[in-house]
Amino acid sequence: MNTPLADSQEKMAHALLNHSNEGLGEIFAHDEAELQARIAVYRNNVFFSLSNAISDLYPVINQLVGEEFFLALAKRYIRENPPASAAMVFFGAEFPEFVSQDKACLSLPYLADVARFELAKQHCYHAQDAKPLSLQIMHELGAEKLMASVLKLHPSLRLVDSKTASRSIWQAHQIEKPNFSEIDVATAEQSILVRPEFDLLICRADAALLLLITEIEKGAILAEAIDMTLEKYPGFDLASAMAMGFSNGFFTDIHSPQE
Amino acid sequence: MTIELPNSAGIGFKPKHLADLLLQKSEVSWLEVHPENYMGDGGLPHQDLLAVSEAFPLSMHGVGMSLGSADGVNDEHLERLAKLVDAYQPARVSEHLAWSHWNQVFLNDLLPMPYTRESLNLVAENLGRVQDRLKRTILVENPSLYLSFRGDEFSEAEFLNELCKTTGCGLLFDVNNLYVSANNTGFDAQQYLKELNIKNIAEVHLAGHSIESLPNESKLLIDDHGSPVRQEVWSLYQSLVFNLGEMPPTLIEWDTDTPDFEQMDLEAGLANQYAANALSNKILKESAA
Repeated sequence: MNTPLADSQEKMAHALLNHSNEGLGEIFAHDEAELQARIAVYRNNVFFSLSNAISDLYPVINQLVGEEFFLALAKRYIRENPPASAAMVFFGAEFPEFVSQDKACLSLPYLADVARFELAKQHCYHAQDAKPLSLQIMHELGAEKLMASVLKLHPSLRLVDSKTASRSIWQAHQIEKPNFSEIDVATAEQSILVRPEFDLLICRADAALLLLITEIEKGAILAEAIDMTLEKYPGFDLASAMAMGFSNGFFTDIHSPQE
Repeated sequence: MTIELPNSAGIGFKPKHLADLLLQKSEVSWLEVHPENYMGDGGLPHQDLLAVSEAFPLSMHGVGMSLGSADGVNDEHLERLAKLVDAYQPARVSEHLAWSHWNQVFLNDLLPMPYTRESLNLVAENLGRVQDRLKRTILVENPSLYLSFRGDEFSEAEFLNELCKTTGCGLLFDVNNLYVSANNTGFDAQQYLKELNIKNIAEVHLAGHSIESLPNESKLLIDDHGSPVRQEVWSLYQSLVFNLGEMPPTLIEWDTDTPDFEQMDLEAGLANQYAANALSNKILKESAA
């Protein structure tokens, strides 16, 4: 049984999210027309602030579908996935899955992938800071020790494995007038996002590099992770993969497996 | 003990003002941030906050604790706030007399509550938990209201007086909210200031509001923090400073379409100037009497 206060909060929360003013007349001292106008101020605040948060997090999706469509999409999302926390940095994480299921978005199969890319960017941006290892460590250790070691990934590192050209579409929208006539949206793209210091780096990767990083993330010894990768992708270019990893700050620590 | 907020003007921190704040001398002597914007683990937001917290006294003004929620304050949120307070040691921590979450759903707005004995006990309990966890007293801000409840048992001023007495909290008094609520729910702002125990005020907020019309054509004022402070609010501020006998730490809030630093600096300068005028007026009146 609700207390009177809990009862009024339950009714108001329902009224705000569901656009119905049911039960509010007994709580507030206004006639119907005035109540409507006054509750609208709070309802606008709720939807305006939350759809702004979604739009800040997914600016390229907003550009791709246009303001009006985006706002309607954001409102549907908010109603189905209202935030559970006051920390807006965690809000909107289910949006890519929501987009992939939303009927109005079905004709744009790359939309959910671009949303996943933007979410990975957000997570990368807000992740724990850590000092990356430099390429120098490869020289210091030598190949034999390096291969027998376990590498620790940078806490900001995120893998984006898309069936569509999510990175190219995203990049095309970083300028004023995007032109993606040259992009084949149906090309699968793999990306690695990492923030070694304050600037976020976007690395073009391939399925082999993604597999290697995934194995490293699981804690595999480097030699085993490489074997696994070469087995599936015999053409894998290890030297350039390691150079890319160390020069972009993918790793923060290296140790022998027993440590 | 951390440094206190100075008895002068501050502004809400926006990253776009960072360079101006750090490089130029201005009317701004302290800064306020919403802790919710710094609840990620790292990155640029923390770098910026560290830089300004080394240069300015800091106030952490929460918008998500939901002190008025019938289902209590959220432990996870309280822990996140405690971590930030511990890391940055702000001079002040404040929150709102409002609720924002019900049944695991966070509505991201400051929603109103009736001024009843039940509400008073509940807010006191929630506030007590926050103060115990943070090991400090916090300030509570009066809300901007768009609705009147049936069955209020206290006026807002009485409610705040009681809350401060019961919990030891102080007040963050928002003069614009007073003006907005007085218009929107029909009470007299001057009378309210007579009822309120102004000794509890440890910080003041000032902001702009916009004006809408209700179906009966009366005005509904919207506390949108999107324009300069209005003259009517400056007048109320001056009478408050006059009665306090000193300038409280006074914040200019401008969160919607925040202008460049130059205009924020002008508004901060106005606060310093209006407060000085009120105080000199008081001294002249007292020596004439």
